[in-house]
Parts: sequence; structure tokens; C-alpha cells
Amino acid sequence: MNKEIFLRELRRFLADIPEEEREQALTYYEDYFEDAGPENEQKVIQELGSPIDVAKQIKATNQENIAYGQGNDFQKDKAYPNVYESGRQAQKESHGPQNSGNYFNNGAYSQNSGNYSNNGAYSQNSGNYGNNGAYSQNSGNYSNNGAYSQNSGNFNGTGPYQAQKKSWTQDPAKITLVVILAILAIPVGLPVISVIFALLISCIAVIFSLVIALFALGGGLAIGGVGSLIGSFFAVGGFANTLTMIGVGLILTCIGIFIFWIGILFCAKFFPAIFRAIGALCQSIAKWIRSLFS
Amino acid sequence: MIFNTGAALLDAIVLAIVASETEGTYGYKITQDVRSVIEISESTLYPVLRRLLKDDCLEVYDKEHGGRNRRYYKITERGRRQLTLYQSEWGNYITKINAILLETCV
Repeated sequence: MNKEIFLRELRRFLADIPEEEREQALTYYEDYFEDAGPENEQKVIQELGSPIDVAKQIKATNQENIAYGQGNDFQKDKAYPNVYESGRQAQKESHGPQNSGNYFNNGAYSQNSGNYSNNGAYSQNSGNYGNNGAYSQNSGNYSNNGAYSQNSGNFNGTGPYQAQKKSWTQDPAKITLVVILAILAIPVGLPVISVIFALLISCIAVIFSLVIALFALGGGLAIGGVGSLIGSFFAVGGFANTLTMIGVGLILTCIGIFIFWIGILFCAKFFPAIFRAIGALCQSIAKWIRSLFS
Repeated sequence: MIFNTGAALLDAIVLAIVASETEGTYGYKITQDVRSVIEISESTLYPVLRRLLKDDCLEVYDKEHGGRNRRYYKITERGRRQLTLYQSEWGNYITKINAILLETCV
């Protein structure tokens, strides 16, 4: 993560607030990086936290009804969860980008993945879950009753500021899992794929040879028939023989042409259908692959 | 740090830090000064500054520095009144707490 990426991500996560406020916030943090100096860029990024958290805090103060009276700090837990120990406690239970699986989270500032139910504020959730907190980023199927949620996938959301999807390609935990799975699957997957490929090729080969056989048979018979016809003129066996040869010749020629014609029909009808079927198969595979990434 | 820093206390600290500079100070410096006193995330300060700005306790002006415009925060009259209020409230608060917490023999 560098300054450019941080600011770009921050801008993205603030896409759902008014432009003026977004620009003010971005100017503030751009200046912040400048004042810190390039040598402190990584330190600043570390201490600011993730762009999502920064965006959440900015959006928190958009709520006009943050009441902060003198002395009562409990209401302000929601406004400044980073500052409040209660928020931090819950964070300890649930925080961490590697959380996965089914679980229940009632903490603030959680990054969760997998199926879970979240009742905390400021959560980043992916997978199936139910979220009742504010400021949640969710992906996958979930139910969110909080405000300021970024949700993707199928969900029942009732909060404002619904933002964009977050696919597995953006979740480092998921990417790692998928890569590991892909590597493990190679010993089994490669042979399977090769077998399927070989089967496909042998099917095509069989069909081709069938077609060639048809043409060969037809051609051969026809040529044989014509040959017989011609040969009949040079036959020495007498008129009966000549007639026989003419007859056989004609029959052979007809059968040969007929089979040849079947071969042509076969090609004309069969191949477009095959190509169409292969095309449809490729399209469905492409759609499936696209759905993984979207 | 085991004690919560409430929003009011945070406001008070920020106002005090800005008030101590007659010409005002800028976001990064404010953050560093606050963090020298209490442990908070650097991303907490911007919302505080924004709110104090909105409540008219702070005002901003831009001053050129190093070839670009740097945004400075300065305390307003209302901000001074609020800070005075915080100071007296804080005095009362810790007096009462000290009386119980520090005077009790374990």
C-alpha cells in the first residue's frame, strides 16, 4: 500500500458522500501525507489504518444527531469507537482480516469473512452474515440493518450509503485460499483435464474418420462402378457378360454416389451443429468463470 | 492507556492545542501533538476537527508553505469560551475522581 493507493481507495470508499465533503476529506489527508513527509509515508499508512476505517469515521460524523452532552460518554461510543475501550474490546474478539467461518460478532470495527452474524458497528464482512451494525462493509449474502454499509452480494440492507460489490479478488484472505486450492488441485486436476481433452479429441477423430470412410466408400464404389462400365466395352465374355458388367457398373456407381451424397449431407448438417454445441459450451464456461470474478 | 477518552475530552484537548498557537496550526501537527498526550488513531482527528469547525469553535485559513497551500486551524472566540468551560469542568471532574481514587488506601 502506498500513498496513492491509500488516497485512491479512500476516495472510492467515500463515493457515497457529498462531493464537497469528499474533496475536503481527501485534501486533508493529502496534506497530511505531505506534512508527514515522504519518509514517513509507510508509518502514516500504518497508523491511519485501512482506508475503509478512515472512510467509516468520516461518514460517522456525517450523522447530525451525534449528541454529545457533558460527561456522558456512552452515547459517544458510536461516534468515536476507535477511542472507546468497549469498541476496542469487541475489536479484539472479532478484529483481524483472517476471521473466517461462521461466527457471531458484536463488536465494532470488525473485519469478518465467512458466514456470521454481526451486531457491531464498523464491520467489514464478507460471506453470509447478518449485520446489525453501522458502517459495515459486507460482501456475499448477508442481512444488514446498519447505516453506512457497503454491501455486495445478496442481502437485506436497510441502511443508507449502499456501495459497491467486493469480490473475492479483493479479499486477500480469499485469494490465498483460492490459490492454495488451485495448487492442491493440480495433481488431480491436470490428469482429469487431460483425460477430458483426450476424450474430446478422440470423439472428433472418430467422427472425422467416419466421414472419410463414407467418402472413401462412396468414391470407391462410384469409381469402381464407372470402371466396370468402361470395362464392359472391352469385355470379351459375350453380350451377357457385357450387360452384366454394365448393370453392375451402373448399380455400383449409383450406390457410390448415394453414399458420397450421404457423406456430404452429414458434413453439412452435422458440423454446424457440433460447432454450435462447442460454442455454447465455451460460452457457459466463460460465464461461469466471469461469475467467479464479478 | 486504559481510560476512555470521551468525545468531549478529545474536543477539549484539540481546542487547547490549537489555542496554544496564536497563529493557529495545521492538521498533521495537531495530530502529532494530541498523540503525544493520548493514544488515539490518527484517523480520529479529522472528524473532530471537522465538527469543531462546524460548531464554529475553530476556523481555517490557507497559508502557502513549501509551494502549496497548507490549511491552518485557529481557535475562534466561541472556541475559547468552550475551552474555558471544558477547563473548569475538567477541574471539577478530576477533583472528584481524585478524592475517591487517589485517597483510598488499598
